[in-house]
Amino acid sequence: MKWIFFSGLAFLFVGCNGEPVSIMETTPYVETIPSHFPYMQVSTQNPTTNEGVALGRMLYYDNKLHPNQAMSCSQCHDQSNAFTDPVVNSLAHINIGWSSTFLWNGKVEGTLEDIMMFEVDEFFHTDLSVLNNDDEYPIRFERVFGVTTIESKHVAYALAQFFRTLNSYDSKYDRVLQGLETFTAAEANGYDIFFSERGDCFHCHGGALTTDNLMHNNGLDAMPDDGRFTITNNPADKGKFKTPTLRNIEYTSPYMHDGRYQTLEEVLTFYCWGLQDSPTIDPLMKNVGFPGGIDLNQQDFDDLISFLKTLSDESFLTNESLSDPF
Amino acid sequence: MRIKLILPFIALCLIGTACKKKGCTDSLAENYNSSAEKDDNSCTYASTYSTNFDFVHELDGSSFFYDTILYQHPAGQNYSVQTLKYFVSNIVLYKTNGDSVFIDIAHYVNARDAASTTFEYTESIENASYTGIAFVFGLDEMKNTTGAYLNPPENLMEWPIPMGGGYHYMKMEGKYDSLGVTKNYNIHTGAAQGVPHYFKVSFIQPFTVTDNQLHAEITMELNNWFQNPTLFDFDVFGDAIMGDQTAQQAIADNGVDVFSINIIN
Repeated sequence: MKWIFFSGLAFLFVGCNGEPVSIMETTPYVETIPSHFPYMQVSTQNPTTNEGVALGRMLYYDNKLHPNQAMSCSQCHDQSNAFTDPVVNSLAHINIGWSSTFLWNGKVEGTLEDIMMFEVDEFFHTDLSVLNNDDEYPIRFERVFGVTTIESKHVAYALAQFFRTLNSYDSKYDRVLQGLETFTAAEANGYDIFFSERGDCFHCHGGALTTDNLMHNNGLDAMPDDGRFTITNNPADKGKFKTPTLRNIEYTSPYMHDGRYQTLEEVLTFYCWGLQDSPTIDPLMKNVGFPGGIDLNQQDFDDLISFLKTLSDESFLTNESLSDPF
Repeated sequence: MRIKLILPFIALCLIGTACKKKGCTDSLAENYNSSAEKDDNSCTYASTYSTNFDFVHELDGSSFFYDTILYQHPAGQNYSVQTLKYFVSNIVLYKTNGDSVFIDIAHYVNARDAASTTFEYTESIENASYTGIAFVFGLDEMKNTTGAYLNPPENLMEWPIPMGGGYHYMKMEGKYDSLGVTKNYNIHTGAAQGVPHYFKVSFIQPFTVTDNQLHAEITMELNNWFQNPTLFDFDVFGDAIMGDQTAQQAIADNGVDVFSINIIN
């Protein structure tokens, strides 16, 4: 016991760059991700630790990120709604540790650290003095990052660590892929529609993540909203928005970038018969002229929705380690 | 008692050594760190050899603009190219003496991403006279297995299990003018319902390797996907060909003369 204390003091003394540092009491964060998921890139500059995740979780739920302490991330990303919000129509925080494009128009590209820097500095305009003068945060930041002054980067890095744990992979769909369950007949037909050119959902919503994380114009309007055009100023990008994940789609209403659809039935009706042609509509949107979409019969329509509901992961919505810690 | 004396001494020693900045101290290494004082065996070195295959894409013999319905299809319609992504694999260099050099790769090309249009091979290639080069367009049965690629961008070429599994060999997408109406086309090739449609592209092109490396430029002429021997009319084949064996085979047959090669050195 004395030995541990003594060695700790030693490392409190001085760091290799000559700046005072203190003990970084962290333990690596370990999570077992199913093998059908991609490899999640983790910044070598910001390894995920249990203490960092816990700190990021506090920040996610704390109004102190806002300069007037008026709102938190969780206000627009509620766990019971799969980390989105039915009024704000915010993009769901699901599996975005695998994303390198962020926000509906893809304004930020890069790592979770990059998007969190944007959130701290440009979205929230966080008043760092509030955190630095807090009773608890300086101690926690010192423990995680070994710093005595909290900077934007440290807030962003802690948030990024928590975001890397907002992972949903315990749906029926996952269990079927792992051979642990089987689809009902309706779900199986829906799966076949989804993953064939009958529905052709998979070209944008394929893989374990059910998103290609790319930008598409899915034919919502003949005069599409600007979308990615606002970022690139390239006319070919008009109407392009980031493909959202379909995981927990049952809980992330409303749908589309502008939240125009309230139900999955409305969404599917659009994809069956409602596609609107425009110069930038994605070539993947078939039958845009007539019949205006994938034209499913009622049985297939219902079965596809049954399959979509197999992407629901109730454990993600109730996982205590992702919940409000306060 | 003795332990109590020794442990603080060890800790003090650790402080002393810990404060020598570690890193790569070899100035010839790629990751040389001029401020490092103690070498930590992290030095990495550039490969001595660099064989490059550059993939170039032309339409009607020239470079082209994406997203613009400007180019004449062999069936007469004007068309655009928006997406062009594909796999090439299993490169073979044939030596004059009958031996061959096999480069066991599957390289993903996104024509709109310059970072992907060169395949670099860093192993030494035997100095010798060669008679030609061949590669597989797409993925053979050994490589075309679901789960082989879990990460982007390759995993986004997924060919779903209900359609046979594996990966798209090619995604070529865009728009065309069909009698005044703009329509979409999707040339999605792969093993339709498990029936393979990859094909071998061969160039009889003598060359000599003298410095254990090679630089070749492989050019894809897009219009050749749609002719010789089969006129691939978008209006006839439609925009959903993933389950259409006839369409898949037509593209494969047309593909044999889609590529040309230029050995630069």
